[in-house]
Amino acid sequence: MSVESQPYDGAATGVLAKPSWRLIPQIDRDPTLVAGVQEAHGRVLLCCGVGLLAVLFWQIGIDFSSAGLALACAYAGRYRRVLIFLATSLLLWRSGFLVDRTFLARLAIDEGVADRIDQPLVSAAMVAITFALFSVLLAMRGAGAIVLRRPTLGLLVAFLALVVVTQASFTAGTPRVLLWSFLMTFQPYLWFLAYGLVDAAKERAPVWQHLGVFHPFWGATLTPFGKGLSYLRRFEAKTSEELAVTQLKGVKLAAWVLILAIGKICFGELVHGQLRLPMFDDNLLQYLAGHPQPRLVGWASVVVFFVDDLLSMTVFGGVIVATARLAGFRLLRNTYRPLQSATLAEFWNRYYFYYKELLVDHFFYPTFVRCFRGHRRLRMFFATFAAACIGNLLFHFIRDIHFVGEMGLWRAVVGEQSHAFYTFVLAVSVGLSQMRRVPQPAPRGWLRGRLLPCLWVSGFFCVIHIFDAPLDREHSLWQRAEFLFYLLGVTT
Amino acid sequence: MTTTERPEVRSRMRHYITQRLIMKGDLSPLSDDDLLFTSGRLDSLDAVELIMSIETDYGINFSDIGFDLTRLDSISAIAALVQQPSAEPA
Repeated sequence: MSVESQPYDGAATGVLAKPSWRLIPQIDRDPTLVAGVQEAHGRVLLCCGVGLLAVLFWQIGIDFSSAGLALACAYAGRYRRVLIFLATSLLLWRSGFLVDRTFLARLAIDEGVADRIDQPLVSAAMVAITFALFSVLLAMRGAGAIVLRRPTLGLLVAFLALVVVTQASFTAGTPRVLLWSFLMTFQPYLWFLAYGLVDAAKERAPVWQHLGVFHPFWGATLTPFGKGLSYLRRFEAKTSEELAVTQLKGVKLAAWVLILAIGKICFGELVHGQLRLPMFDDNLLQYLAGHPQPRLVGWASVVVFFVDDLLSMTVFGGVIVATARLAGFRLLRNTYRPLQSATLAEFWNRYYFYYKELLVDHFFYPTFVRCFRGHRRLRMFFATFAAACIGNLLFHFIRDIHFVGEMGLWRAVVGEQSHAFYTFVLAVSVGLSQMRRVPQPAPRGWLRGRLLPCLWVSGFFCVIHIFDAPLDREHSLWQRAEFLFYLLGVTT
Repeated sequence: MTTTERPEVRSRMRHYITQRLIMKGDLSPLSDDDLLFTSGRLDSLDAVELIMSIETDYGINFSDIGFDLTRLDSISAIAALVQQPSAEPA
């Protein structure tokens, strides 16, 4: 778990690091452009450029409209925080505060109380209750009260305890629907609250400013892109020059992501359209149905799935980070040259930076500073295991918590077996990779020092994806292992 | 253990961090207030090494004082952490 991959360069030096030809020019390092974007006419041009990018993104089905809100926030001066809060609130309201209403409606029918519950009213009440609860917790933390001394642990225990309660027979009917309504309203914000509670203890900021970055308007999943308020403050442009550089970095990233998104579409058309290669899921399903594709096709679908996943992650995270940069927050990229990773730990960091940060912040460091303090290597390994296996598993279990409502707790837990295996192998491998890592660059030449390690790392994650790929609740660990054995030629 | 004077702490930390940056090929200048972790110049493995070094050299138990990476995010922040009364061993 490392962060070494991304270059730290913010100032407009006028000196290009690599004078060679680049697909996307380093506009953020051109002093003339940086100066121009600080002027009114330059800002108009920047807005036009961003508008053009948004149209091009729209043409290929990607929503980059938040960039308009980002520019408004960037130029709002001292009203920036208010505007961020309003923009975030607007988008959350538009998306129904991210509550899975289909699940809740189905649950109400299953519980036989659909005609007795006014779903929109319950949803509105739950949103009000949840945000009131967040506000109280943040305010108490900000006032120095010891609320949830260990926020992450406290939140996870409380959330999972309520999930267990939903399974009790005495909650059947309306209480179960209300409890699930609360949980499904709370769930999208759980990790934001975890960051918020940590921040509130050290940031003397009003509660609404913390809430303004709970699922900020530039985008997020359950993983906060930009963590919490204190992290964002560190990356916020303080001067007009910093803002100009940050915004030009945002434009540069957006342009790069646009090219990748077009490349992804072409790649999909080539392999699935022209070459008629089946999707990974179809390949697995056909094998399980007793009609396996040739091994070569199987391997090709695994590799294509891996490449497609990397491109999807880069595009999806890139749009979010580019929007945040346009708003004046110079966030690090989410996916950064993952195929250049020479160690397993490095890949994990380069693949999904903010998710890795979440696991490091909430599982790795708390474990590291508390457990096995007298045993250097064991301490390191155990903390890595806590993050990559336990944290990873918990995160996904909570992300897919609707399975508990649909399948029951036991079946939902059993359905995690393949993903649990994936996280276990990942954690052990990354842990060993961390322990073996030597900081000095090894003088072993390009082939042995760079190419072979990179191929090994990519190959490892490509194969292990078989256990992490979609359909992971529907097929057992053994079925996936059988598919892998077939690909390896162990079975027929 | 006596409290180390600020210049000495800063000097030792600057030397330690500069060495780690050089090992990573980062030869950019380093000032006392430059961000180390949130800027991406150092990573979590470096943080781990730094924590163990501070624990050994200054007897600080991070689980007692509440771990917060931002308190290690610059040479100045580390110097302040090492010398704060609550961080000193009994």
